[in-house]
Amino acid sequence: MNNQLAWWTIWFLILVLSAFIVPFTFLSGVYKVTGAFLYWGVFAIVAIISVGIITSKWGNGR
Amino acid sequence: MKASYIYLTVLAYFLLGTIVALYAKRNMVRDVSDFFIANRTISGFVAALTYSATTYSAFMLVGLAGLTYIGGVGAWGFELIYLSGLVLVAFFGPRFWLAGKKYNYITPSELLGDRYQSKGLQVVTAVGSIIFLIPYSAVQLIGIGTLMEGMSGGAIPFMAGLLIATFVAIIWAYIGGMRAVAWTDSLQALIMLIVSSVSVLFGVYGAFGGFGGLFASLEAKCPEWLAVPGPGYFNPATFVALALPWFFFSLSNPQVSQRLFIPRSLGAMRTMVMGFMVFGFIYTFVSIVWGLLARLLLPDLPSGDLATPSLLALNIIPISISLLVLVGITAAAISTINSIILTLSSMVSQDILKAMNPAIAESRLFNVGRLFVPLFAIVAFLFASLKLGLIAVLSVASSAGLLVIVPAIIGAFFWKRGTAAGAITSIVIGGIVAFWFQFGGVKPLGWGPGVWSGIIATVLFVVVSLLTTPPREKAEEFMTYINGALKENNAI
Repeated sequence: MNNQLAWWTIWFLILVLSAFIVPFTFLSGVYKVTGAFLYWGVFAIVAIISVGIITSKWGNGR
Repeated sequence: MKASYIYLTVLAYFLLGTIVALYAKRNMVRDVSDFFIANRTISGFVAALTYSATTYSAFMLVGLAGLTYIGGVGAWGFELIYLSGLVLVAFFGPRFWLAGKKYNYITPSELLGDRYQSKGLQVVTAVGSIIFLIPYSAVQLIGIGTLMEGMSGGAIPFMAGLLIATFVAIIWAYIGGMRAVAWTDSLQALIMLIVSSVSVLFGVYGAFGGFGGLFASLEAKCPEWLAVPGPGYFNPATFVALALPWFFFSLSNPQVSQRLFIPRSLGAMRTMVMGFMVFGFIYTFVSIVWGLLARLLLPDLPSGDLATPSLLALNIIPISISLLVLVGITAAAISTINSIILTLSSMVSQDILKAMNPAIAESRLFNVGRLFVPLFAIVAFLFASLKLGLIAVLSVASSAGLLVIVPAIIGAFFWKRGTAAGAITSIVIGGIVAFWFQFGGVKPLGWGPGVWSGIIATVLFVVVSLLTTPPREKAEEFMTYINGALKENNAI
């Protein structure tokens, strides 16, 4: 496994684990749109941007 | 709603789709690679839309909205965790694509069979996919039949809805294979996104004056729906059991992983991945808001599945928009079904017939593979018309059942020590466990089948592989090529 792949794997492990843990712990008592709803929305946008960065250098490969 | 309105709208949708399918077919060559993967020539834009339409079924606006209705924002969370799983396409997409191009793979099982040097593995993977995905397709058909029957007040019988859906699913795929499916999927994806977004805007602005009003009402009237566990449905065990197999959906489900072979270049694949993620984020948001709207406007429904049909029957959404939503949900189901039957047909052709008889003529593979498009659709129709409880169990178990293929896929690209025996054992026993736990309601330690099938498959793959002999030469050649080509194409 190359270095970049290893770093991105660790980053996504942290990101995805946070999507399991944070809403069920820190935000479980927050009954507002700015709680779990917002957290998951931001989580998804960060994931989309991260995938955008990973794929940004893909060559044409024809 | 009058049955004639529904018939006419569905007819217009069918005619439009058929024109698109015929247009897409004009470049089709009568061979297996063209029929099943469009000869790897699909543009990024079309690839993004077909990926979206194939992934998102009637489950979104009906099932996910229903889960939101009963369980609140946990539905938003697990669906977005699925979306984040597209990072697996960022990792594995170029690997599949490069391997597919080099070795001429048409199905994901062909990749596994060649990499592990085992025809048996290829057949087992294909058969497993058929067992879990036909019932999944049948449930989509049931969804269309039920929706048409419900929205017409019974004037369109359930069986008529089933027949219409089966017919449409067959025609486009049979006419032009992947080219027609990809292009009609694109049309359907646009319909799905536009009509669902417009209808939700009607609902939110009509009933609450905007999103500010909707969220204020939620915080005031049902605040528990904004947290987890909230109303109770999304406890940690249920949430993990739903989210975990879905995270691996992009690798485990052959109808989507086969789409990693179709982009014309890695640049097109990038457009596919990014386009899908943006589509998915918006479509998920719309489906969740749909469920929240129903919760506020119709708080006393006996079940979550009724949220969408009941909301459509309310007078806040104009009848014309409701009709379009019906088409949007039908399009979501059809685009998933025909992609599945096309993929399963390619598996019969490549993974069963060709694997068992490598000397078979290309024209015969093409003809038999194409014949299986209507055959699989008819089998799904028969299952749907029987409405057997077993079908529902297999369909629900499909995400857990297909998850068992993931360890073998990861091993194919990253673990030279992996063996065919390890892969076959993990897929067969993991699949049986998924079905057994789902059917029997078995939940050791409170975890659902999706967690256990994944754990058991991983352990079996590793242990059995370590006890058997790997195809060293092939593994070395395959991984050396992939790693070199990845570097050349700036992929990680």
